Amino acid sequence: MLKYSVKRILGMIPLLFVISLIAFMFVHLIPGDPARLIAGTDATIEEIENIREKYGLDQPLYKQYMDYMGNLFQGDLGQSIVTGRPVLDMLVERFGPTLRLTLASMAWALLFGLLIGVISAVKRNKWPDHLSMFFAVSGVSIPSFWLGLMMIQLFSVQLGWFPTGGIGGIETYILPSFTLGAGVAAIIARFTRSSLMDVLKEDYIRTGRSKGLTEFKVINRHAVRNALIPVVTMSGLQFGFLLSGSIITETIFSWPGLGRLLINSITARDYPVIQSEILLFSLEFLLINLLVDLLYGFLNPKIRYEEGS
Amino acid sequence: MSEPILSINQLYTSFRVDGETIPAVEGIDLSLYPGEIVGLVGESGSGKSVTSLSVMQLLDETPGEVTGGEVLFQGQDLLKFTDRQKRKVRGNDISMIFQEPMTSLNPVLKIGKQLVEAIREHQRISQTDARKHAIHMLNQVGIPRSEAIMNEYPHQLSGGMRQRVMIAMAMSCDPKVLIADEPTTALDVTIQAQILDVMRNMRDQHNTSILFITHDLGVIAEMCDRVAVMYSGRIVEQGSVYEIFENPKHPYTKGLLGSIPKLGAKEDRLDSIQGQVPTVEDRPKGCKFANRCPFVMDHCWEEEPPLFDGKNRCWLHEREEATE
Repeated sequence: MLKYSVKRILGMIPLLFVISLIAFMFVHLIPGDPARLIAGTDATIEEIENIREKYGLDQPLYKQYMDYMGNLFQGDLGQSIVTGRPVLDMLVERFGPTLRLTLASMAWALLFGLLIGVISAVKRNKWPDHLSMFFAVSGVSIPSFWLGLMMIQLFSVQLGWFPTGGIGGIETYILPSFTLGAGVAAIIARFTRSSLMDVLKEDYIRTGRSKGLTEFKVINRHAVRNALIPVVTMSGLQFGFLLSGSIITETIFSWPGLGRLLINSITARDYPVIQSEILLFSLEFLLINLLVDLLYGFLNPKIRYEEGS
Repeated sequence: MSEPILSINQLYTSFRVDGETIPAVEGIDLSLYPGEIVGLVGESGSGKSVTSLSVMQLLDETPGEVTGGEVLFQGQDLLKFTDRQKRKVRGNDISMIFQEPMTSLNPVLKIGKQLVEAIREHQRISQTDARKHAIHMLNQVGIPRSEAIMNEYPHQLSGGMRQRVMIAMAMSCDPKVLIADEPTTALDVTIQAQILDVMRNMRDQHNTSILFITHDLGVIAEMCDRVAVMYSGRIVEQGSVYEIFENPKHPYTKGLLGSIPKLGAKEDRLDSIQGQVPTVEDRPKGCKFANRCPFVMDHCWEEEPPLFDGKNRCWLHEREEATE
């Protein structure tokens, strides 16, 4: 398994290379001139030229890319055009809050998603199923900006239980993580339901029942683990999305995470920051995919990765 | 003969599909005596598997429902049991093996775990003893390197080996009755013979009664003591293997036997029963076989024949009875 993982990680390097190139080009395709934005509206042409020179924006595009990559290999992600701070520091600072928010959201999502999914599959077409699926459909269709604002209105403004935003103790995590997790929970619930319903039709489920096992044991020991295999892939993907920072939720709850950094950087045409964030998100996705594949092998012995394979 | 261990009396099972009730089994009587192997033979859709699932009370996963009759096991009606009582019987007193060895074992659990689970569900013994018993069972069904196989997953075994594992699992609590639903249909002919051997050995060692469901008359001839032939949810003829093969009475049984290729005979075409099994809506009002029967008489269309002499359901034999 170690050998397999190392192989996969090495395989990521060329991929990241390609991604960096695409990211670089797309970022520079965004209309607008960062030098002008920084200099302000009443800056002279000379001032703007100075800023261009300072950040290497006057160089040809390929030269800018080479410089960027050269620095990248030395562990230097460059400096923010807006704040002048090293990009690496900014990312590290923002990664923590986003990671913690993601973990909290995934905890909600998995807890509710799996529970609701299993209940509705087992009680299919009865009222618990209808109720669960009502919540699941709501969770998918309610936009997070609305859910977030409603939660703030109810729990922060009216009831005063939780703060309206910002990061601090555990109470500051409740509302944003719930807002972010609700949609994911709904997706996981629907996925679990359909997967489990398929598994319950399998022959080995009948075998389990013919042994005289209780329905609980049949579902718990024989059905759920088989049903989880596709759910794991999907949850991994969702985890990746959350880890890129939710722009909307982070903005609503004034959360100092990667999502807000990204939207601010795009507005300011802060090229180095945008590029590095895209690269970071890609890396996150690749690592999560690896993790999902390893988990797959754990769940399904048929695709267990043997040494040397 | 002693008391039957299992007797099915006037069993009716139907399916509910889109609010409509479709009868699958209509009034079956069948008894199984200790140590006996009874074959249940018929075409697809004749109700063989539904009968076996009705006995096991495993119809939940289908839209099926037992609507009448009784299934007596050692004199007690299984149909009246509570869920808890049913679970105590399943896998313990009556166990079952299925047609598809490839998919009947859980792919993500080790063989050992699945065997031990079956044993410990019904017996209060330690994990270690259950493992020992499981290995013993694997040896009994002729699995080499049984200890290693305990730690393997189903996909590492061949179909024949998996069916042996299924038999070991079904026999692990020493059941009185084993229901085998087409256990050899999915296997190669050579493997088939081995599996039949294993089952016969099991019967000899444990005096288990076996209800053997198949559409393969060759297998019936090899395995069974008695045979019941099913058609359209009914038993149309039953008797000892000798009686049925030497002197079949019902035209359907004759047709089935006629469609087996004979060794040494030069035939260009195999005999076959003309037509197809009618769907439930198209079943004739009288004898269900009337539309395919070469000996059909006017009377056959009007009234369904009873099981004459408890042996066959054909009006031709009413006259025989009267003249005898």
